[in-house]
Amino acid sequence: MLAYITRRLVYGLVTLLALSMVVFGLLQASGGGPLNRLRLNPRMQDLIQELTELWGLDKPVYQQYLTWLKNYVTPEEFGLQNAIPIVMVLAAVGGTFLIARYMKSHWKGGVILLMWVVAIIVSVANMNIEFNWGVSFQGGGSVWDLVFSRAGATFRLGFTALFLALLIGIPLGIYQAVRQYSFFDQLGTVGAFLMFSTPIFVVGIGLQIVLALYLEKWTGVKVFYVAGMNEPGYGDLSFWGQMKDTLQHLMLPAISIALISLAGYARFQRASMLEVLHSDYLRTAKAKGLPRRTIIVKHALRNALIPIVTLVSIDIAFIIGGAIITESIFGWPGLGSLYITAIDTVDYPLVMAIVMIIGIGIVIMNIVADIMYGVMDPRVRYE
Amino acid sequence: MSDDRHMMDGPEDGPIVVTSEEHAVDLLEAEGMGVEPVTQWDLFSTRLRRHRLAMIATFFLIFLLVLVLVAPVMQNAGWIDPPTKSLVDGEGRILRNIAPRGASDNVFYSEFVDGVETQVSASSTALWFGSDDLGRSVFSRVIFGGRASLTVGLVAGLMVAALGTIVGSLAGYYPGGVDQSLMRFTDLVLGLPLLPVAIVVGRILPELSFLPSWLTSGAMGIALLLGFLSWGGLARIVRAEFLSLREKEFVEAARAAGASDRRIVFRHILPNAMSPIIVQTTLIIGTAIIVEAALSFLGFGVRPPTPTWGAMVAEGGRLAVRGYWWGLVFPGFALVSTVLAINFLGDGLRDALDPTQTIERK
Repeated sequence: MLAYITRRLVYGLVTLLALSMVVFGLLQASGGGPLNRLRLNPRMQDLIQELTELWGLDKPVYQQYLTWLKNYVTPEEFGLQNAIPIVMVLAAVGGTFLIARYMKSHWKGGVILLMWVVAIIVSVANMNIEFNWGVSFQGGGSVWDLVFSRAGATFRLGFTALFLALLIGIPLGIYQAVRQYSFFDQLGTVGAFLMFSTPIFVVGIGLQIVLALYLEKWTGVKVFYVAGMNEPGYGDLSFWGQMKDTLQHLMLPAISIALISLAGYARFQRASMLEVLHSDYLRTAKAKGLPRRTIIVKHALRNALIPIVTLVSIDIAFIIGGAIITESIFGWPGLGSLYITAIDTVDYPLVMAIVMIIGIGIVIMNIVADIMYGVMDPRVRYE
Repeated sequence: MSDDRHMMDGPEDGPIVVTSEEHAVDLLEAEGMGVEPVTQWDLFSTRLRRHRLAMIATFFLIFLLVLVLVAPVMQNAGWIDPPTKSLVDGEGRILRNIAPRGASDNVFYSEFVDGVETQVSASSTALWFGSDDLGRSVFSRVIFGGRASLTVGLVAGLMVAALGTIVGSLAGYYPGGVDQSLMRFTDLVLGLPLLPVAIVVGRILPELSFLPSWLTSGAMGIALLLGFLSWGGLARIVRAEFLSLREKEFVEAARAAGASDRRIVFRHILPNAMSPIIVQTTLIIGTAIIVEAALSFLGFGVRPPTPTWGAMVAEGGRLAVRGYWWGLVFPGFALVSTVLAINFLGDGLRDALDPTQTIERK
């Protein structure tokens, strides 16, 4: 298993290198890039010269790439206090191996693993570490600061969407499987097809116009806001007022992202539950006269939930992609809308930083998915 | 026919000599026992025809394809308005944001100018779906917008089918070095996040002046891009199919009979691996259409003034805020129903191509 994870990590690193080269090369191929706007003004000649030298835009592409790569992976500030989170991370990784080794068949293993992943994320987030990811061409600010001021918003949106999708999708799929071919099941199937076929921006704009705009026009009550994350007077509100304001802004973009994931979860959960329901050991449970409720909750559900773990991890990539579009529709100040503006101006330090964060997230989530799957299902063996 | 006749008794003077398969069939037919051979295709088409939604979807897609193909002809014949030109009334006023009403010619239609309703006359397809902010007929823009979507879907689909099948079958048939290197490359391509990378390419595509213009400005560049980014999944599936099929007895028999690799792959393995290839390609077409629409929606896809559904939804969203719902509803509906039809067709194909599936459907 250690060899397996190491191999996966190496492949992941190669993928990330390839991703960075492809995107860097593409951005360079566009020619001129960030300075094109300045070129329109003839008096900017000196400034262009200065900026070109400052950012090293006159050097060959491979040199620029190597400089970027070196800066991207080398921490600029690194104090002794960072030792604590690093030790925590190492302990978590070591503990994960132990868990995976000795608690293979137990659900607890999966839960503890999940807690460890959260611990890793929290400790990394609290690490007092800073990278020199360059300076954003458009604003001139540090890319690192810019990215981290926006990441919270994306996390809030993404996790709310994931939570909603799981909360609704999994029970929906289970209910559909238990009442297979009922009217509700058929309705759910058609609904899932419809959701799969609806692009996220159609959902987003539809919700925005109907629930945020027309609902207020028709009823006179402001239920949802059209755009933004908080109203200007947010700081002065009471706790509940802040809560209400947050939800009124958050729900529509979160629902837009969640709806499509939700359809996927419901379909997947239904299929997995049906497979379990038709298995021999369930027939045994039925034959020995267990109550239907016990059969479904204790015998079927536990095994039927395993495959969804993989889907959740892979879905993270989808949620990131969905966030790019949804954030730009709802004016959500997260990484997705930042990415769009960065691309628009070919601000490549910023574009590279965000693309690499997305890539790293996907690589890690895929590995986590495979490990979780093995921990929860003892039949899985790593090659 | 009496029961005792099914014994193949020959004439009194001797046993029958059966010379060929056709001869055997002839003999059976002469005995009144002719059997219609049932081919895989018959089974497939029977199963597909039972799938009502898939059939409706197929007809819808064929209708759409024909409509989109003849759209320029219809425009030349004057049946539909040009998609990129503003419509004007008799007095030269641009017909902005006309609401869709009625379908007969030369009726008065209202135009909203700064919230005030005025009467203008118009006779065009703008009457059916209304007109947009620049006074262009939404109806003809929806039809012409379908050209971009279908081009992207079909070209990307073909490309995925070709690349995925070639890479997957090579990797699956030749284990070892070929398999390893091809699959590592596949992993690499699968590791690229589709939408972020597609946005980057979509953004810089028009600035790549060394490429021919049909590649940089139209749907073709986006189609090739999406095709290149999304063949990984199919390659994995085809490889898995090949790995399992190449160990089957019938392949071993063919090999023992001295068949060449080429014959084994094309005559024995590939036909048996066709069903996942077809189903997966269908689903990829749906995804490609959605991603193209998303790119155009964000402004990094097909460039204006060429109409595409994605860009029309973006524009329509801004108009719908002001109350002009038709700019949003019609392209949105076209997009969703097309992808829905493709997904239903994919579902029907999956059921119809599965040989273990009984002819009955729930």
